[in-house]
Amino acid sequence: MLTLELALAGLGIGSIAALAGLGLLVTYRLTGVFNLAFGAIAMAAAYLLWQAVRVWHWPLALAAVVDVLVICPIFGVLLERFVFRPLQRRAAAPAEKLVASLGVFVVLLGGAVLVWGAQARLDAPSLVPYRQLPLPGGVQLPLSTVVDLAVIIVVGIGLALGQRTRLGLRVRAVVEQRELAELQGLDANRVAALGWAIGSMLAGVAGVLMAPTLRLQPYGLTLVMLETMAVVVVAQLTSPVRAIAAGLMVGVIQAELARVHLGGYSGALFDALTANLFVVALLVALLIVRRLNETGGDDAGTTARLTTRGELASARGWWLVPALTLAAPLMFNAQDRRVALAVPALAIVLVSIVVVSGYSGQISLGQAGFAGLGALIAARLAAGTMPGFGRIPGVAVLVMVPLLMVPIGLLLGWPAIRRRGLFLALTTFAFSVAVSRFVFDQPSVTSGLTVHPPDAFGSDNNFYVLELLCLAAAFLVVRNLHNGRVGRALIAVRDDESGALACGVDVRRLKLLVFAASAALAALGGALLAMGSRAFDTGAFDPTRGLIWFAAVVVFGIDSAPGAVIGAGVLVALDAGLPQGSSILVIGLCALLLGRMPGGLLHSMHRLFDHTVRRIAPGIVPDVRQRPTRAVQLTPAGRAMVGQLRRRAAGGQGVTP
Amino acid sequence: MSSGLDVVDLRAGYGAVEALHGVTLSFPLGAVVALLGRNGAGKSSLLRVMAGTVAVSSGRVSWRGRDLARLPPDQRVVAGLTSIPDAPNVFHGLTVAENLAVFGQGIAPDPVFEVFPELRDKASRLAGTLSGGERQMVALGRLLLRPGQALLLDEASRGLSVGAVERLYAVLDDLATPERTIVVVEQYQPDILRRADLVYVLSRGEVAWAGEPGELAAGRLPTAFG
Repeated sequence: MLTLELALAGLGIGSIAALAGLGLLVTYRLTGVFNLAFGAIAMAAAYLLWQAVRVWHWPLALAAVVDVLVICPIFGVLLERFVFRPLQRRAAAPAEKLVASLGVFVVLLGGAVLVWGAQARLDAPSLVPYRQLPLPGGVQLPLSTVVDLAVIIVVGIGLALGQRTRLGLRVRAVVEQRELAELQGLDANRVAALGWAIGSMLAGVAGVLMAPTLRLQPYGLTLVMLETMAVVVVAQLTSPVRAIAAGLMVGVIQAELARVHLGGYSGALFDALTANLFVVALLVALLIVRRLNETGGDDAGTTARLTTRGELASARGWWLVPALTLAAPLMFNAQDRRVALAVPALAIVLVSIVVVSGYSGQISLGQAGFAGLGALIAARLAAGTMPGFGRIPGVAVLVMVPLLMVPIGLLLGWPAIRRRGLFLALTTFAFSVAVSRFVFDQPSVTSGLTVHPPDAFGSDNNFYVLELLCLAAAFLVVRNLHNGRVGRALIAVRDDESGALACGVDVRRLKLLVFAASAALAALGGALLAMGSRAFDTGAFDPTRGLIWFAAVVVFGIDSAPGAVIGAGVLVALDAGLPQGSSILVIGLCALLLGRMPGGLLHSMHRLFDHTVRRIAPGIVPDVRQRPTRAVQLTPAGRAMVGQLRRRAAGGQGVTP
Repeated sequence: MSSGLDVVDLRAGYGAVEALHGVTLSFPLGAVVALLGRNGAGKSSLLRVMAGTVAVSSGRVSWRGRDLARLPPDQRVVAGLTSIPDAPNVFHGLTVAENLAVFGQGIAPDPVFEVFPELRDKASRLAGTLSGGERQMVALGRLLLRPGQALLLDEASRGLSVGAVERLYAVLDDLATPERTIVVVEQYQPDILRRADLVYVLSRGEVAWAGEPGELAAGRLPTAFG
């Protein structure tokens, strides 16, 4: 039986989801960027309002106007100018823009924690006074829900009508093909800045309206926004009506289901499903929806543009840097070496991203899920609590974990066969969210788990050597995937999938192979991570970890396995030496600069080095780029024709052919 | 000033790869200039540099004596350059009518439909669903709506039927006035030689030959183009 009160309560949650989803959708249509930072901007706007009203004691109305109508749009314009314009300039792929928005997300989140702390605040200023509106039948509707719904309707109508205006047409042209729009006389920079200003303003509106209902907390507020992606997927990135309907519907269903109580294990699962209904909706939507209507050109699918595309072959001595990174901890003192245990393990996880995203071009934001499952399986195998298995001794666990993960990798690889680009990115991210919510967060699955290094490798030194051996094995796999026939086929798929198909490459099988290999590697890395820290920590495999890892791999060169090792070293070192979260902030800032460093940080440094040497000592590094000019003279007849044309233009006389 | 489009000692390229190695060419007002050359000769790169979508590394680009190097592409359109790139040449997610309206800015699309009646029934279709030739017609529509004083056409006849090519050239004939410069890049199109006043042949990013179409027709094609 449905009840009206619960439905109305659900409408409150639903309207928040619809508002967030609609804002994200409008931002996407205005900028062509699936702005993962939308939630972070909303969170920052909510905190700014809190700061202005509670700390500086500004009048609420003034603070809200300055926050939403001045600061948020200016922030949007700055984002366009310094982060996304450089990317658009060189026709960056959606993957690059996604990573840049991830950078914004990370920087805002880190900044908010730094300034306002991670604790929740319950005194977010509310723009809408708390009042219940009586409805016929004795039920009541909060005024805030009415305001949310009104804003949704205004934004929805604005989007529908705005697309038909001349300005709307210009925005669509710029989002679709920026260069072509400029060739038709449109000032693309201005149009894009306007899009970002409006997008950020909508995020601000969503943030200040939602904060009082949800409570002010950096991670919480941002993650709620990420979960409402379901709404955007249902709308296929296009239809505001469907986005609104989906948001309201999921909210109402969630509220109605809250009444149902089941007992036992199935009851716990049911409660988990209900509590995370937006995650369930996201998964279902991603499986049902055939395609997302992405903007931009047709080669939008892969990460190919993130790679160096072999522009500069690596120098021979290049391998020394990662080798030294890995060898150094052997000489550390005991405490530092304990910290360094995370480096080879994390390197294997990052290499798994290089395999799937760097070599074969498939965006995978879900590696945290694989890594966490690997850690979980390792713990259970060692304890003898894995269903269907006895107690597995020592090192055999590390062999079993990747093997057991292959089927799960194939499972995720299957939807990836037909999904590309943003669609695939969202699918893999949803996978990792689902694993986190429905496996890691379930006490019955993860409580009381302990995990240790294999007995023979109990000392830190021995375990570190074991990790290095595993990393070497991982590199062997990677080498086989990157070289020879398979490697060439993978690069072909990455750079041009239909072209690869036309050449007889079995794209299906390759994708499955790559996802399986990548899942196995990530699981191995995850198992080692957990063994090194001697604990199964669900926080270490949170979905946002997967986002940060992906950004780190892109920053250090998405198709560079040595880069992944260096990246792991830098991440661990930063976290050990600086306050918690510094590494995330650094990765975020680097991701913001991707527009200016194509091919990643290391590749750009390499290029800068080359350039400097060429400047200082020309001749040492041969400059293959420039060739001397050969002067070509016009033929006599040609010269005569130019003279005639000049005279004609000057005197207005005709030419006799 | 009687000068039209001029490039002097122009170097430009993509990342580490230089595509134009010091090109000096003059495209006078009143001339139809054919720019020929093999694949990868630098023809399209030269057009892109003039249109502003590829940055100049060194050298000069000027239009009627005005230095263009610092102008973004949209300002060059205002200054009178109309460029029709090879690909992508239309907005796939916009309808044919919307595509024409982006450039037309309030001008009715009828002149386009008169020359290319094939498009009339497809005005409300998404440009991404058209055939290659039809897309090219949409792109060429700009010549009929608001043609600038300098027209840069990259493989304008590509994908068009023989009849449509004829109509395109008729349009170009009408547009060829003493106050306008027309630059046409073609891979292989003998017809353009009958209309061109000047022919430049590029090879490997350099000017390989410059002369009059009659000389080319007389079989004095340089080896660079053979």
